[in-house]
Amino acid sequence: MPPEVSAGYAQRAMNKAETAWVEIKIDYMTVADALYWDRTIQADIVADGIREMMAGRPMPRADLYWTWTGLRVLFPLAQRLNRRRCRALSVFVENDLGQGVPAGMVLLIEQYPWLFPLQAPATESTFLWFIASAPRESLIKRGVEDPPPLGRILIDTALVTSSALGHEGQMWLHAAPAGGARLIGFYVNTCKLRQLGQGAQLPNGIGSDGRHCYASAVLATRLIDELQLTR
Amino acid sequence: MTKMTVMLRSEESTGNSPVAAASAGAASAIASGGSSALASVSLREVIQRVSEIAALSPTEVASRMGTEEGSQVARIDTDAVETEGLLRSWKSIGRASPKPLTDEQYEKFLNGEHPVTETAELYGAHLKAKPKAKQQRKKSISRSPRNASSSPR
Repeated sequence: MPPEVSAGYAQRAMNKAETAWVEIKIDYMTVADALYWDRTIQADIVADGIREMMAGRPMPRADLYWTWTGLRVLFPLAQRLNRRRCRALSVFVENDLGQGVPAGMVLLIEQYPWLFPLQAPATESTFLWFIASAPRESLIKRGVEDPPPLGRILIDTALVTSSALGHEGQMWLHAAPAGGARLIGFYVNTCKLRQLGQGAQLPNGIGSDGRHCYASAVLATRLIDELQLTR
Repeated sequence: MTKMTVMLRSEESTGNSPVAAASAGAASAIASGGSSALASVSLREVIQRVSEIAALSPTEVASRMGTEEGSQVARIDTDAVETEGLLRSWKSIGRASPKPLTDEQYEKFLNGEHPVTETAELYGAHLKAKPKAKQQRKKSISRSPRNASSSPR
């Protein structure tokens, strides 16, 4: 059964050692939040990526070339031309100066055609466009004592948004090719999403490259419920 | 916090196309970030990029963003931005509701602002100087014991 009462976004996350809750705040992302991310956390991501590639290893993260300021400003404007709304959220953790440091970033399209409209309780869904979580060391360097892992929380924001907007929690995304098999593994194994088969038809009539992951209404209900303690 | 300079060059005519109208908010959007000059991204270039993104499916856009060349569509040079003053105080940060924004709130979001809370409340008075009269009024309000425990959000 789809969720009847819409859940709120998470308010806390378990620390890495799984010994304590860490308070988080999920709020709308401003351009200033994106600018801060690009100048500090993204700079760390890029530095790590360059180091890895110089050592002959593959690109460690799919978001190496992203600019959140551009994503935050330009992409919602682009979707407006398609008569769709975006939502940009930041997940904040507190540093030792009493400031909120962005530890996770989300950009989603609120309403997008669902993959299986004929068999579903709703014909629309939420499309999770871009997510990123800050490297743990990057947050520690900025005075965050015990940064929690945020992967499930970031996925949860899309599920909760979909539910609140009347799409019954239905959500899908495309795992960036730059993330390789590791990223698909993260979505399927850690976040418990289903993987769409290669060649399966997308709403625009094109076949999937096999890197789309999704949550149906039933799965979304279960996943949202699994994080009840974080709300 | 350094003085804000608008970084989108506005010398070109934007015309009356929907693309231009949608992109017109970009300058104020980046400016509302509250920092120093970003880059010399012209308004014409913004319009081009927005049109380019809109013409592709979200999947295609996301795939492009995985390469250095493809990600240029979202590239805004932030090297000149000073980070001081960009962080919000923990207490000023609220919690977003999953419910949809009103049209008016969404317009604020498109302009790069927080859709619900005023920028000055989030980042302090150094970003948006309030008119003197308002400041005086606020002072007198804050002296009132009835409002002594009111919080930003």
